[in-house]
Amino acid sequence: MNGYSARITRKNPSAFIFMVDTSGSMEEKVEFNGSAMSKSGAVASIINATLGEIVARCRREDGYRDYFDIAVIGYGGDDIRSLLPGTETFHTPARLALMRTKTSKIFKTRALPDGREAVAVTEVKEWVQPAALGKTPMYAAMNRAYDLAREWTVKHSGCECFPPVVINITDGEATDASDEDMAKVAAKIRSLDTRDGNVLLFNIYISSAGRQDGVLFPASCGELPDTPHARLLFDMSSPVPEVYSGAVGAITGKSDTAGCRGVSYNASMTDIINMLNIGTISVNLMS
Amino acid sequence: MKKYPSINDYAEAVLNPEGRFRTLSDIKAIASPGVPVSYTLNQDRVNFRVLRHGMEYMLSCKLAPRPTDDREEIAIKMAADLASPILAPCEYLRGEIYVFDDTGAGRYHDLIATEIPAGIPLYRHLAKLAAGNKNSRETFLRNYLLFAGEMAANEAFSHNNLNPTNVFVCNDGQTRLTDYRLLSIPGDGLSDNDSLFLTVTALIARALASNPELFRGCGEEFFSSTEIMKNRIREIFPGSEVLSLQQILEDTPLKTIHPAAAGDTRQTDYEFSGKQHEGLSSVVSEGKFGYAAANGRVAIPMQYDWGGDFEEGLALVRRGGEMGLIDKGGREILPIEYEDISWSADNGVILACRDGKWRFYDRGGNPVSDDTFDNVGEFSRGLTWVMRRGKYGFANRNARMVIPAIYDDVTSFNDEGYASVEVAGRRFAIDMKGKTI
Repeated sequence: MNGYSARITRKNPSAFIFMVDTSGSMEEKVEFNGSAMSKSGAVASIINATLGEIVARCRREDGYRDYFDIAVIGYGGDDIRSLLPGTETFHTPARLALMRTKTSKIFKTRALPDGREAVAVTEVKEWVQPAALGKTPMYAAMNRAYDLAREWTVKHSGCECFPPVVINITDGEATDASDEDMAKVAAKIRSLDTRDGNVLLFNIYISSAGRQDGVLFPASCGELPDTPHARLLFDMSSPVPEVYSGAVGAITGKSDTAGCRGVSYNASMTDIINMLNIGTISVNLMS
Repeated sequence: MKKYPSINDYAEAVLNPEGRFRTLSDIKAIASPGVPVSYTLNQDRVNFRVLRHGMEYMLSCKLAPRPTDDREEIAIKMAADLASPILAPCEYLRGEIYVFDDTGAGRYHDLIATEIPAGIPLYRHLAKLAAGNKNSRETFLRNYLLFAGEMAANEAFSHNNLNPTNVFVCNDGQTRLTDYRLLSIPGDGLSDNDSLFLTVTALIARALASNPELFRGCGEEFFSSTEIMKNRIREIFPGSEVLSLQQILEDTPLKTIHPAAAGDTRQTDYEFSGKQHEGLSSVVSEGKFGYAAANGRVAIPMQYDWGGDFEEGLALVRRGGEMGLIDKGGREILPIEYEDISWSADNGVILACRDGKWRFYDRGGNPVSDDTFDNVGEFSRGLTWVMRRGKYGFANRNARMVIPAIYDDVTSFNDEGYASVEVAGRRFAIDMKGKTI
């Protein structure tokens, strides 16, 4: 029985593998945080915020604890590469926390409840830099994610580990494989497992600028546009386990989340944030 | 399901407090190395350290739902009615903090504001002890056990969420509890917990007292919840049951510790509070500590509020909130007027703090130097970290700075002779000459 209920400890850690499309189309401009920027810039910013939260959750009085292994793979042009600094692909929260990266101060103008406007300042680390060039070698990237997830599950075989979660963010279709090949490699990833369950694969398909018709966590293909690509992404994505159902219900308004898949189609930047918040919900399972 | 902000969303509000709090005012974040606002995590909550009107507070904010959510506000009100001196003052504030989520939408969220007791949390105390000597560890365990026993005798509640971040070892020598949002009173209808906290705490303390080597592995996770503690006990003593409080109190080693803990009010000359060390045992009578020789004769009369074990001829004693160091003849090597003392027998150095300043003394109680420090660590490989004007460096046994105080944060030197240090947000390792590795 797949439980997805393992407590995450240093002895039984988990893993996140983020796959980020860095193809040329990610240069397209979108509105994010009140300003126009490239999709690649917005996604890098969202990934950095997500990494920042994972790292923050792993901080304890005696330092950062290695509750997760974290990889961020970029794919664009002929390139499949880690978007995190260093030679290793997987990084621990401690290594991310202590890594020397560019930091930026973000000034956000906030409308306070009493009507006043105030500028809030936060400093964020920029582990991931935006990139956008060339075609979309998503098949090769999926194979790389498979290799990483396989290596991780073999290393932790026999352990009660919450399984790795692979989250793919793209605005295009694979230019290096057929739909059939994509479905096969996705199935390969989902077939990997730990004693707590199979590896989870979430797919986020970013909309063209300005679209507001994003669908998150559909329970059937019928909720998606009637296109082969939408059906492919639905089929590639994992059914959402019970542990996610409360959060999925809250975001979709569905009282019954049975059969919902970890996919989002025509996602806005806000949808991506919501998807990543739910995709990384296992941070709440840390001991 | 209610959506809760992330740590970073809450942190933004705490770091930019203007207009963000409904009732609290004059909030100022306390920074710690590497983070602009110091925080701890405890299960489903992030607890920020702040100053409120100049006093230290903990603002506890929810990160994820738990089945016990509905109980928290009730538990805190119940605790206020108890007016127990060991519970730090605390308020549950509904819709208090205005937080913007990462999509930019703002909303009020509940928080729990707790006044932080003047002292150090147990985890820091444990770390200090774990780096110290065996005697001080055992002494601490006995005191902790005594605390559990006194609670059994005097307090009518269970904390239910005991861990080293919410137990404070206070400057006045007392122990105080924070983060008691899961508190229950047996029979209040909310919980059938029959002092499980005490039961398990006592078991833990006993397990550790009889297996001091476990102590080094005794980190936060060891105490993180009563369930985990119970399971750990089962791991340590396979096949054994987690005993009832009554069963524990009937057990001889605990019974000898404190008459009140055992419900035993027999008048005796004294009770042993520990094993014999260097020919003397710490003993207690009517709440006062002294020392007895192997033949039972009282060697140092009962006059202290607490007395540690002798180590290399010296023992720490406490009267009121002040510490001193005595020799086997009962002479005060350091008078009982220090805020804190660390006796490093392996290094023959006494580190003692008075009026907030630390000095180094030899084993005769003589200052080895005129130099003072704002804070000190424990000796490791002949060096201890010291703090001056907010910066850390390393000093040797003679209080001489061998690595200057230029770092924002440091760890003690490890067995390989390396320490981790941080300057301007950059963390790296140095060797014992201060050379960057």
